[in-house]
Amino acid sequence: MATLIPTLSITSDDATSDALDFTVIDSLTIKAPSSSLSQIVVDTTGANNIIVAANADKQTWVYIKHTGTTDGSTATTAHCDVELTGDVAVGTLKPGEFCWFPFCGNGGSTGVQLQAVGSSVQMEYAYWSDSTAQ
Amino acid sequence: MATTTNSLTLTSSDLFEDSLSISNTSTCYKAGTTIGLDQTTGLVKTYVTATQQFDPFPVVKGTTNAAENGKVYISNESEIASEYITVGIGDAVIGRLYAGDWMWMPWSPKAQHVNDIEITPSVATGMFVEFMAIHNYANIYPDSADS
Repeated sequence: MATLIPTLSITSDDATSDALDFTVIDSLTIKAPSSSLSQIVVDTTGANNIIVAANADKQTWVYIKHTGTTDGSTATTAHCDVELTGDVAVGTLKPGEFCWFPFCGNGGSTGVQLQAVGSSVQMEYAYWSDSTAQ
Repeated sequence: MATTTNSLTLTSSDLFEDSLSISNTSTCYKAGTTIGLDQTTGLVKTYVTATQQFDPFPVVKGTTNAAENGKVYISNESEIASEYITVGIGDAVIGRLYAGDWMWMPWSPKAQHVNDIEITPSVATGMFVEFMAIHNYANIYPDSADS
């Protein structure tokens, strides 16, 4: 099985009176199903843009990035909502922003979908399942 | 306004035939602006000793914040591989963080008890959990029993 190493760093000199600066690293053992980097033009209907299908009891890691464009070259300021299928909004990504989170499929009933706000957005995503049973 | 920078890298030398190396950096801005997010919970580390669900961040009050923007960091600091926390939003489960796992995701609260982030530890034997929100929401604060 393969190993995936995610690393997150968060820094700020002025968010608070004391500087914020930390880095966390994880090590994940990966197995199928996985999907390497993909791109999708997301429209304003979440059900049209399911990027991780409902899966039964698999620990899946999801990476999503807003490319800042509508088609790879035309800039946009439109946001894109990250949702669980069934229109459960989690949060919104603006141009250039990204996220990384675990997803467990809720017994095979729920997936992950994207919904652009106002106009279409090109998004980048990938997911990897790890060896942890749920 | 505050400038908070976040960087994410994903690397693997044996995931596919081709090696994987993804690197991204962005600044946490208010929605639709280049003005930095100006509120934070600070980095919180807490020791939980029950399997009861809890809200790591103050819940949303009154007006909605759907058009606002925030980021959430949550980490399971346990060193016992089988111990996990389940992270959800409202009544929906997002996923599990096992020992050493962390997540970084956007959070756009829409209404109290509908979009609250929730954490449920898997064990009552005690585990450390770390979390932080960076945001610009109005009307989030802890309840008080004072009248």
